[in-house]
This record gives sequence, structure tokens and C-alpha cells, in this order.
Amino acid sequence: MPVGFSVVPKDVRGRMEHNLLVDRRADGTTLLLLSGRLDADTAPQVETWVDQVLAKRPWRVVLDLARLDYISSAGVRILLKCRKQQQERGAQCLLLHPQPSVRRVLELLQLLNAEMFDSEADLDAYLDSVQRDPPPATED
Amino acid sequence: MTEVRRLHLLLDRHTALAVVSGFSQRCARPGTQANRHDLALLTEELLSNLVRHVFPFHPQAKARCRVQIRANGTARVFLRADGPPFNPMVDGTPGYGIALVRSMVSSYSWRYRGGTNRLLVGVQV
Repeated sequence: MPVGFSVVPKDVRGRMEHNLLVDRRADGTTLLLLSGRLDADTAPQVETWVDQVLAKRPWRVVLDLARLDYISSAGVRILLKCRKQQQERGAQCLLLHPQPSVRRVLELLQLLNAEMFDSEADLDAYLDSVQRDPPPATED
Repeated sequence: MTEVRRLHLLLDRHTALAVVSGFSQRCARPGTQANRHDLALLTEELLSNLVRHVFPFHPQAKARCRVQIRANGTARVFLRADGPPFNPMVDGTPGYGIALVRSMVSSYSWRYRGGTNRLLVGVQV
């Protein structure tokens, strides 16, 4: 049973109209559910929260964009930073449920790529075709 | 009918970004068409770019933004900002923000007169 928790203090949720829920799953996937607006105003705080998640060195990060209504370049930078950091240490960063407005922005920037999935079924099919589980820990 | 949205900025950087965000959202109303999304995005990118590049050096600078949405399917964004010459279409650090602006804008003009930058961009909506 996955355990979900919010890393967003309750007192800023309503004001910023933004939320980030983190869900860690048994297969090593860390699911980040972004919601609301990810723009120049909210991006700095969200970046701090995402940095906190990445500092735990998750094997796989899935950014669920199902509830993300709007994204601007400030938000795109966070998505790309997350992907870059994960790739640099051989880990994964995947995008799930991009809404039309988000897809539109990524399309304008020519950043649409294969690691973006419209449904969990598509994501599962992809994971079945690649390494689903984290690599075994090596002994020093 | 022409819709007009107006914004005047004379704020510290953090507050300005919050106001820009709110103004950008208003530009997307009414309706949920994708083209209104582009107008909101364009406005945010232009204004947040201004806040990043001009306000840190000229915190008392004034900026005004006016958005016209025309019945013929076009919109115009007028941006006036005090401070040194700064053309957001060519100056500043290249990045995703200005790349988005360039990908959406159908025409633009910029001129600098009397210590004020005047930018006019046209976009299909």
C-alpha cells in the first residue's frame, strides 16, 4: 500500500493555488503529483520541494501532470532539471498525463519526447519494455 | 468588440511575479480556448522577463501592459517599461521564455524613447 503525504505546508496551499503530492511506491517509483499553476510565481517554491525529493536519490521519478492546469517556461525548467539530474545518475524521470496546455508548451519548445505517457497503461507498457526494477545494490 | 486588460507594475520583484501571474490568468478569460492560453502564456513570459532583467537594477521602474483582443482573431500586447534600453526579443539571456514568445508572436516592434521601452507584439488568438 503506497503511503502518500504532502510536502506542501497547509498554510500556503490555498494562497498559491498549487500543490505537490509525493507518493512513494513499492517498486521504487516516486510519484510527484503536480497541480494548479506552475509559473514564474509558484516555480521557485515548487523547485525547492522537487529538490527535496531528488535529494533522496529516487530510482524512478514519475511526474504526474493530470492536475497541472498551466505551465510556463519557469515550470518547464523544473521538469527539465528533474530529468537532467535523474539521467546524470542513471535514474529515470518520466512524465504522465500531460494536459493539452502543458503539451502545447512542450510542443512549442520542441520538447515532446518518448518519455511522456498519456495513461498509466502506456506507462506500464513502457516499463515492461525497459528495466522495471531498480538495479541491485552493489557491494563496495 | 475589443477586450482590454491593463496592468501597471511598480512593485518589488516577488510581488510583481505574483501580480504578473494573476494578470496572465485574467488574459485567459473568458473561455477556455487554447489560443487564450497562448495569450496568457505570452503575457506572462514578456512580463516575467521584464521583472527579471529590469527591476533588479531599477526597482522604482514603472511598467505598463495593455492587452487588446480583437474580434478579427488577433490580439496585441503593448508593453511599456522605464529603464535602460531593453528589447526582450533580442536582449537578455536566451532561454525557454523568449523561445516561447518567439514561437507565438506573429509580429512585433520595439522602440526606445524618453527613457521608456515600448514593445508591441501581435499574436493570433
